[in-house]
Amino acid sequence: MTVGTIIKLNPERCVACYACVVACLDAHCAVDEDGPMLRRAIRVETDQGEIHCASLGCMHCEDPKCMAVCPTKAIYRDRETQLVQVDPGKCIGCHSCLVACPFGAPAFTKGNKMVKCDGCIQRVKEGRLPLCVQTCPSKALTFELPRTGGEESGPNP
Amino acid sequence: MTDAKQTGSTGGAITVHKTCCGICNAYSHCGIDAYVQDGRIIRAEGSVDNPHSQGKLCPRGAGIRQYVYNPERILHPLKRVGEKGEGTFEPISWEEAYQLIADKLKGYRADFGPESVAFVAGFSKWYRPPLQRLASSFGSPNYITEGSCCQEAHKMAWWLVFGGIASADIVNAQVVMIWSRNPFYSNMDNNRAFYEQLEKGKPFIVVDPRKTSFTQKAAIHLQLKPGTDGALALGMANVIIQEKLYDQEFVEHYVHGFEEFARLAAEYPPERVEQITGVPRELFIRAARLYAGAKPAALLTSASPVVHHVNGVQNYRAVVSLAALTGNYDIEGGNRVIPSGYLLVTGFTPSNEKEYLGHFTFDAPAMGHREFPVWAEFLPEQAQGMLLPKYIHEEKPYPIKAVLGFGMNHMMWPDSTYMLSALKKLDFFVSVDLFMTETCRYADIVLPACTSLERSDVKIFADGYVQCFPPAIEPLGESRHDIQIIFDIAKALDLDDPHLRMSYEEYMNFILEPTGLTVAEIQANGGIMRPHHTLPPYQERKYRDHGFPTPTGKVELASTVVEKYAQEYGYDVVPQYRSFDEVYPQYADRETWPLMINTGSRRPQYMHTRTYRMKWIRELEPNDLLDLHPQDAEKLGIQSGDRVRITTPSGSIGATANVTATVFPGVVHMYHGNEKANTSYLMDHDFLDPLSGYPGYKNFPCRVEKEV
Repeated sequence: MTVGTIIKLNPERCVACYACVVACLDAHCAVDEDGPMLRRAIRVETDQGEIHCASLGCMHCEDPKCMAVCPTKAIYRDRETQLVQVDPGKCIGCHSCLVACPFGAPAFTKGNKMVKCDGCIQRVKEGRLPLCVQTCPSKALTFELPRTGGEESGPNP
Repeated sequence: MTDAKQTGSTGGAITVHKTCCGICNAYSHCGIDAYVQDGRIIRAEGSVDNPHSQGKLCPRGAGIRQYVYNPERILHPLKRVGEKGEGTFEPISWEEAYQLIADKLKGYRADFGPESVAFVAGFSKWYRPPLQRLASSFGSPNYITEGSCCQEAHKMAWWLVFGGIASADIVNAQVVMIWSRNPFYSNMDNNRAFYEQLEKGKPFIVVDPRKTSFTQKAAIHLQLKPGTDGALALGMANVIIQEKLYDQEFVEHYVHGFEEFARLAAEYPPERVEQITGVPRELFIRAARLYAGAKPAALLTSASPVVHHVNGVQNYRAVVSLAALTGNYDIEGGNRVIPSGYLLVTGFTPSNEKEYLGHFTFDAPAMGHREFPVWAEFLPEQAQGMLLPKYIHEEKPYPIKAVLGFGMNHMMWPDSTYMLSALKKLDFFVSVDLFMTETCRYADIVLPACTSLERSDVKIFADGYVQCFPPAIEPLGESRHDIQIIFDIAKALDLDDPHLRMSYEEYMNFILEPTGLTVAEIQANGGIMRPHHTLPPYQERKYRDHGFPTPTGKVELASTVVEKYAQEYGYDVVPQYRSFDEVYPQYADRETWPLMINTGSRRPQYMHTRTYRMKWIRELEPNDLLDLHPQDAEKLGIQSGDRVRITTPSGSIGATANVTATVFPGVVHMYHGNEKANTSYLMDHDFLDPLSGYPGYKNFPCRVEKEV
């Protein structure tokens, strides 16, 4: 990825195993609920059978395009963690963010309010890793807060 | 969408319970933090403080709430009231169920002999020692496990050549050859370790009929036609022998049958091997030179793919012979002989499993022991259960009247039409399971088991950690854990066996005794710790002092075990390659059956049949995909997404086409274990490897048509 992000994907390591997707569902859903899915894993094959995999959701860009285009400033960056957040009260459902997002991350509720990964902000404030990052069996997802000298933060080795 | 913490604010206090997953095999069983409120798990995540699994989970474990609280969980003991297969049951009490089971089993034992009752363990390993002990104590030789079609035949190949299996030492190897396994989707808890090796630049040779995320990272990918592994291995052996790349000192001192094997290998020159396997000769010649030229080099084999073929054990014998030629057996960085411990996990932590099982002899031979005499020598304590439906149908050489199945799924057997009609014919069938499966619907009595989060359970991992957490929640409904059910049945049967009259904690402490640990001590230390006592550490080349545990005391490239039965059973003493239609000429008609089906590969979100019921999992991808190569798709006028029908000499099922260049032209591929697109209908019940009894799941003829 050329875009600087807080949640980082190493596509060389991703095998689209869906662990991140299901961990995210477990974090946000009652046992009989299905979403909305805030993270997806995709597997694309070339005509020669070459396989490319990616785990995608809001990657929490250092320079979020969604934030720049939001006409009501409903999208903002949390001061403490730098994670990109949404204020549903301000969202007018114009979908500009979806058009701008390089990862196709924004989803919309039935009431047409934008919803996306919050980076497990509560966990991060407690010094823990976002669940998708913690769960990833291949360590394809990592978490790096900006201005920490590029070091990986969080308790997970 | 509900935030667990928000719902939490209206209920009782939330407590975090350390527990573990039990969905896949006993090597993994990753640690889970279960967030429990009012006795119910409201969230689950990997335990970062668990030194074995370090917080990671696969999708199955991450979604474990949908496994525990699945709408299809069985919550009460049930008695069949409708027709078999129909699924109409009424609840009964545990006491009634146990009494009924005991009366029936005692009756069959008195009238038809104890062998008329079979005891069957499905994929799960954790309750097997008590189940085997129950079968033995009851007097039946017919203790069957999923080993009848997984991992044992592969170990048999190693056993025939070396007297025992040896594990690949990947970290210390210079070159690693992986023979038919996708490590990324197999045991996913090793993914990080595999990436470390790949990123260091370690060369991997991978033999796999499909392109996978792993094969494209390999230095050499040998994409072969499924089932031609024997020819490829013999072709590589020929290169190694002709070019004198083999370990001449090892071969001279420790190998029996080298000359015969070399003559066999010479029948496989590169042109012929290329023609049989479809692998370009320059690729496998390069692979042979790379593997034999490096020392040490490790060979990573796999439980099922190669041996799910009617010449499977012979094919894998040829493969593991490469480790013999190169002298890579029982050395650091090659393949190391490591003790097999509790529940088949290798490692240096002792247990009392063997002492628990004891030694029994039976009057009647176990099912399959006369039909597969090499199996009988290799695994005398287990029946070859692939013959179960045949014994039920034919009642020869003796009838099977009752089956007591734990996590038993009929899809493990080839030819579901045949297997389900056998279950219908069976006099008495008890099915202990988590979920109301299709198999359960054929049972007379269905008993509810509980998950790993609802029980305590000793795990001994390959990395040396010993784990045992208290239950995170009470068992759901009236469910009980399998070992409790086994002990209860033993009591109802009046079996006077002290090993079945233990409490569950006494059982676990008995198993743990050589480690110096007790359940109480482990749980006082957070549920996971190192043992106080371990076995002596690894030593290389134990054969120098003790020889090899084979009849000749040497590595047997020509097998003296197979030789004993060669004439009567038509076995090859050296591992000759034979195609499926050479073994079973009735399937040689390539005009009617122009394609080949390959089934049984792993996907990360599924573990055989067990996670298809989880909605989060089930909806990730279409589940009835039939992979076919663009060349075949074009010929058949099929596009991705088309409804297609696949037909074999045995049966026919519908599927959704997935056109993909990851499969070999001429070969179609489907995943197994799905009740709604069950590939077992496609397989013939008699299509078994004559050496192991394993079904030929990886290589059966078929045709595919577009549905109109």
